[in-house]
Amino acid sequence: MTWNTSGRLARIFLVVFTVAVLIYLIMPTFVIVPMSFSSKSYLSFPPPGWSLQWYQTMMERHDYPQAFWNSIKIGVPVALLSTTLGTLAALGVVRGRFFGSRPMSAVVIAPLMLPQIILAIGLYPIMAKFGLAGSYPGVVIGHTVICIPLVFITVAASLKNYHPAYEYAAMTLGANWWQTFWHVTFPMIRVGVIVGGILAFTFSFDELIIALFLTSPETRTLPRLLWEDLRQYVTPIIASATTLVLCISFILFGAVALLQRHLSKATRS
Amino acid sequence: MTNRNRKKIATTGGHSRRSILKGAGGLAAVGAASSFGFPAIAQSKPDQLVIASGGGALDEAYKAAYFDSFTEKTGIKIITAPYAGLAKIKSMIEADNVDLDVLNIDAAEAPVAGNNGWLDPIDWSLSDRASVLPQAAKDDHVYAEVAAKVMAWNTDSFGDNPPENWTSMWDVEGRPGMRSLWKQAFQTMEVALMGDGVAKDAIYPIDVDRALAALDKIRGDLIWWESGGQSAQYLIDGESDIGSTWNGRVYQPQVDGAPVNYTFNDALFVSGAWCIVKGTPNAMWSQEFIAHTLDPERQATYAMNIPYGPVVPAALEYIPADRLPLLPSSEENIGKGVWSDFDFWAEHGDAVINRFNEWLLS
Amino acid sequence: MQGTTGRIWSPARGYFVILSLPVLFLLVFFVWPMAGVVLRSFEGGEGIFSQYLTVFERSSYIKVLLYTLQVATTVTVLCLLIAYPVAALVARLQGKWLQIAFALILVPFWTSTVIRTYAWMVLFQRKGVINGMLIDMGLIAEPLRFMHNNIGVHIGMVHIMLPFMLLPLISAFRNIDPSYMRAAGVLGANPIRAFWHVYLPLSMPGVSAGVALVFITSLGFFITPALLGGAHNMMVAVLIEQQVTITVNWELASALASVLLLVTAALYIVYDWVSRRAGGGGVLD
Repeated sequence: MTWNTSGRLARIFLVVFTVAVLIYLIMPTFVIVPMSFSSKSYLSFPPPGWSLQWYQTMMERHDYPQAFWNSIKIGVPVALLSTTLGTLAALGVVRGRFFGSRPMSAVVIAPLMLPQIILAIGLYPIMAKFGLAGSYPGVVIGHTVICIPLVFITVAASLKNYHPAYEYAAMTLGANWWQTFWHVTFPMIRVGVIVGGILAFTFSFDELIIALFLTSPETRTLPRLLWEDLRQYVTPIIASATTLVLCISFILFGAVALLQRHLSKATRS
Repeated sequence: MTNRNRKKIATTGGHSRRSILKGAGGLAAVGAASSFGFPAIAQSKPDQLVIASGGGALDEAYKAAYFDSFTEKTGIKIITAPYAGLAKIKSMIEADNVDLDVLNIDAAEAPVAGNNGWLDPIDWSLSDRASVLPQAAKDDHVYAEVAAKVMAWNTDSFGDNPPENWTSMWDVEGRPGMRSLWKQAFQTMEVALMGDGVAKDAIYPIDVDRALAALDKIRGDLIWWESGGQSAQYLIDGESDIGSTWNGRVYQPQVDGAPVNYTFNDALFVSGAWCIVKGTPNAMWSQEFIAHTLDPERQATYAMNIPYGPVVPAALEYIPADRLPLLPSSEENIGKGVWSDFDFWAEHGDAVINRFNEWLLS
Repeated sequence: MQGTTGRIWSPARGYFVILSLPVLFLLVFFVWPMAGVVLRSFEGGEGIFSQYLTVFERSSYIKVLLYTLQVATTVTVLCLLIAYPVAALVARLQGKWLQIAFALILVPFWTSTVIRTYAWMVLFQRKGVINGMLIDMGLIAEPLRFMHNNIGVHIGMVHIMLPFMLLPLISAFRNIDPSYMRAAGVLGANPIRAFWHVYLPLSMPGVSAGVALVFITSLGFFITPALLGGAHNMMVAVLIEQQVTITVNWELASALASVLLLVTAALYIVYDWVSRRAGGGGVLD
């Protein structure tokens, strides 16, 4: 086989395989979205009849919009905080290479592997000591602890993708640490940082146990509301809530994409 | 005590499903406000009581029956907190950071909490203990309702030949099909014993060997569910032909035309329990709240909002005749089942759970 | 540039300062709480190791621990095999197609894991959509069992973990200059050799990041295996949860969690050592 034909075959296979995997990834959505328009009070697929009643119920209950908002209010600071701390940790460990940096990195990664209930019962007394139990900063800190490893691992991977010689060169030329980071390091690891931030936000957005332990009675998050409904019986309202979240995230994603295109055009011209 | 005296109040719960039942709900709410004399000197009146409970449909029913009327009567608002299990109670007590007043927990958890010394005794001088079902009135907690672990089935599978009790479920040859049970020792061991032919009043103390041997008999056709919603979903979708679930989980789907049915024969009665967290500064008002829930008319309102029976038998008089067959504690149903022995589980839970886990993995 | 003659910047000292901030945070909010958990595991029995004795006495605990490690491993391998080619392709996309692919990869993130699991239940049941389609097409006569066994656990878990593998891989692949592969081709290497000697080594940082993320996260899994698995598919998180919330035996739960931590730490060190030997650089350095 020549380089060309085998390359073409491989490419066709690759495209088919990729499309199949992407379909697998969105497959549950094909079930969830139709079920959200069900006319029945129980989940069944395909729905026996159609209606908007679950969207209406969701809006009338107005704890759903509020819970959605609460989850965002926790997720965004968690993403920012864990992205900052995780990136710093990755920089320190990957570029630092001093004695003790390797064991330290094991500590950075450890929070991810424990069942969250263990972290929750461990954190609670500490948070109570600081007066943070049941407070908004308390749950943000709790989620940040689990999300730092997500950022750490992705950023560490992008740091290993290029040689530190670039940074040494900049420093030799007299750039201080911040200039080196901002003009040399950050552009190289930008994708890794963004990926880490996304992972952190979505992890926080879906986390139940720590949120249950550390939020105050008034703060219902989306996972908690879904959990409460699931404990009783499953109505299509959970599908409606999910569909709405999907729509909002798609709109945001589209807006960002358009904005980027607009900006890149603007800078080019 | 970080959460007390906050002004912002979470909005609890929907209003949609309740509208049908408003007629019955109305009767209890009136007339309560005037007739109460409080020993107001003993404790200053808080702005709010924080009640930990499971949320969802249960909370909506509690709100309709008890929370709103309590606020109307006393001016004290009720805040519902997420109930994160005994683990959170233990955390709060160990850290001396109790921000809950009243708990609505699983009746199986209440003796565990009581044995650990986390609960205040109920002040039975505020209500008539004799008016409450004897099983439901304990020294440090009161059951909140009578719910039932029932046998349910898919009517497409057994429509014209409905199963009678758990022994029907163990009749593998007579009734081929998939069976579904809760993947927990708790309640499942009792079901297995009754399925094996043990009389319902002879299941305690649980004969673990016999229960596991009974489970072995249906093992080939057995699937497991983990959450209440899942148990109903399996039966509705025909993933399981017959299995255990709670009556409240299959009631609404059945009304809406899902192909499920259930029986109270050999039902295992379970419940939530009201209790007061030791160390709350609002203990007196928490006692008032619990006494407030034991009013027969309010118990009736609760049972009209969710298909769980009152723990005060006098409440049955306020409930229309067509509702009674749905309630586990109605006169016709209470004799069909047996109460789960929560004290047995509080004492032997760990050992039985471990045996059950080992059996699952074998 | 200013100050070319300024102070000589010491990288090691600078990075130590950088690292101290996250490490301080984790010392207070992770190491301290976990120290409490580990200390508790030595309490509440006769002799300080009595909880650990219980863990190792109960055959179910060891089985569950081994099963958890096994599932985490197979999920990681599956994710890697599936994600590697997909990430390689997606990383080459540009503009609109890249954005669409990214959006689709991120879709699962916006649907709660519990609801996704319910969706799989609906799809994979005995009378579910997939079995219905297969029977209608005449491919099978009897419904296949996708759930209540290892298949269901893996379909559900791989679905949740796949984006965690895809994203670091894509970010690594986007840094590989395609001209390297072309150069290898021009120099006469066949595609397999070019892949093996050029592309694969360059993608190793992404691979080790994805593997670490997926494996470690899988260890703490709870809901999905419980809802889609059968009797045997019990994860260690389920046992810990039982001890924490039902029997409230935190000493035993702490011992179980400590064993999990220890086993994972040991595996992690081995993995780090092996992947450094394999030439891709460790997970960390």
